[in-house]
Amino acid sequence: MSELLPVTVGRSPDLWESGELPDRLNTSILRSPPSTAPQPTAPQPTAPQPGVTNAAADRETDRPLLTVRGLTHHYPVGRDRVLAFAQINLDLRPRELVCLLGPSGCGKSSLLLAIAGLQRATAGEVRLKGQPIQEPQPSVGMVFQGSALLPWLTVTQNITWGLKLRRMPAIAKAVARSRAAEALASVGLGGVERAYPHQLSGGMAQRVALARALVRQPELLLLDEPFSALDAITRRSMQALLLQAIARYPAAVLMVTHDIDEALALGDRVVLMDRNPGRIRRQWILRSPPIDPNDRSLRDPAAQGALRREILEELLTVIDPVVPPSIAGGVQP
Amino acid sequence: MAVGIWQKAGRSGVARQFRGALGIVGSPLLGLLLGLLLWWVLTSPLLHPGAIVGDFSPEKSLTTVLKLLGDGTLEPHIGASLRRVVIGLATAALIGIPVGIALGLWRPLEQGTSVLFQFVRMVSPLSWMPLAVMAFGIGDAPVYFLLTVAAVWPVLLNAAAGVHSVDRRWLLLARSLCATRWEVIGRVILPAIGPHLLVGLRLAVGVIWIVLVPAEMLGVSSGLGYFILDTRDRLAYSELMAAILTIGAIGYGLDAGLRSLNRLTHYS
Repeated sequence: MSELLPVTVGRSPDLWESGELPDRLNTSILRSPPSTAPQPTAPQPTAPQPGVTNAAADRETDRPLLTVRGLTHHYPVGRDRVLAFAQINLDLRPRELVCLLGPSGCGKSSLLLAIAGLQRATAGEVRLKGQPIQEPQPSVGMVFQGSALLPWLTVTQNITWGLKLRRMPAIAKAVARSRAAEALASVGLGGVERAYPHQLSGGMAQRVALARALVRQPELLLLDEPFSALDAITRRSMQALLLQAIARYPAAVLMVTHDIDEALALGDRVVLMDRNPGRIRRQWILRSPPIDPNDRSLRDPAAQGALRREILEELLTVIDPVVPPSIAGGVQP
Repeated sequence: MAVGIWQKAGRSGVARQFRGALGIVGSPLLGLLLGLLLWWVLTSPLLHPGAIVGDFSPEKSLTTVLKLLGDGTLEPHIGASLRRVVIGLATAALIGIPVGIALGLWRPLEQGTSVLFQFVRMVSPLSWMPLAVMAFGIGDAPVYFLLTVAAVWPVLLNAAAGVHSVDRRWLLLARSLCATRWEVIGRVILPAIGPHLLVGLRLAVGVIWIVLVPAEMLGVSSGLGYFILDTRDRLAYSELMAAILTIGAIGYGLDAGLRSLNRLTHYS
């Protein structure tokens, strides 16, 4: 059961046996106040012992919002099955912003689809507040790399589209419209309510996509490389905007990215994924729960020199395991 | 070589004037005038001194159109024909759109029916005429049947092609927002294939209008097709030409009307 500890990330038993370091030792805790730093002796959060009361375990922020256990997925290629990701164990606390970093093709997008209930994994389980997820949930919002706005609808209609579905509580048209306006304001857009998607820039379209997810007041936001198609300046402002928006709509965020700087700028925690197959290799905690979303501000990745170098070295090992450490270490941050 | 000659001519004054005239008058009108001239020459009393050919001449035909419209002879026939167009198109859409969407969504169904549909589609709708009369009797029913058989294919195939071209990300997004299967069909796929459906309906109207005239020569007592047979039997050749002109004009109007609907899909 030790692998279910709060800061522990998943490794399959075969790797344990192959003599690698246990995950706990592989987890760096940075800038975390001692009082809140998870300890190996902390109570197991997902399944508290019956009859044992623990004030810390009962605190909302200590109980994981999302629990992923042993998630494994194969996809068929012809007659074969290719392993997309294996033995993923991951916890997300309420309001936590976790960046899932990994090289392309490591199965991180696929993992996000499985967590969203959009793709059934071969093995393992995903629980949201203790309830297993088998299909998409109204309390989970998702933003994709492309904005995927419906071109025949205006901006407001795109945002309210997801409010009018049968699985959502029925609300009056006026309420939907005012909620859409509020969501648009939270992503810093005004005056485009009646515009059509083809009239928006890439950054604006992505803000609308974010507003469309936020308007449903999700508890968990899954972001699949949402800013990777944008230019560097727009991306930076979108990252700041995301922090503002989730301060207003306090959701936990799991963000897939292949950009170290994005992960460093945003993440409370950075989780690095291995590839072939995708596994969680290592994680770095940059801010420990409980988290106040209003406290967050965009970090300057350049100021995180040592950590950035460390993550980059690790990422390079993932991309090409034969890169000697001397070369990896020589890469300037 | 031809291009070179054309370019050379382009520099001369005559060609420039010719192009200028094209720009002012508009080439479509010029084409129409050319057709009218050809028509006039072919039916000219100079070539054909006989009286019968003169009945086919443009001046006689055009005045007859005005006369028939003025005295209300053509109106009931036009009304009957347009009613059949609307009913035939509606039936084709009611069958073609759902079946087309089902084909687009479900590949085994599409694979299973592809040979059958291509086979049936290649049979001229008019070949069904005797069968239609045997099955539906005399009257409007066999005409509706023929029009539907003719028009269902463009609607159906365009609907299926539309579904294939729906952006998969929209479907993923709709599912991530917890849309049910029917909500995905009704609120993503149906609006998304709008432009394809318009193309299908436009082609369908064209086919219907072409099949309508021979179909109306079949056991009905109204409509422009019936009117053509009637004028032939009455030897009223200028009225026959008037009917042909009316058919062409209405067909053009129907197509232009559906083309203008494309503006609804301004986003694409």
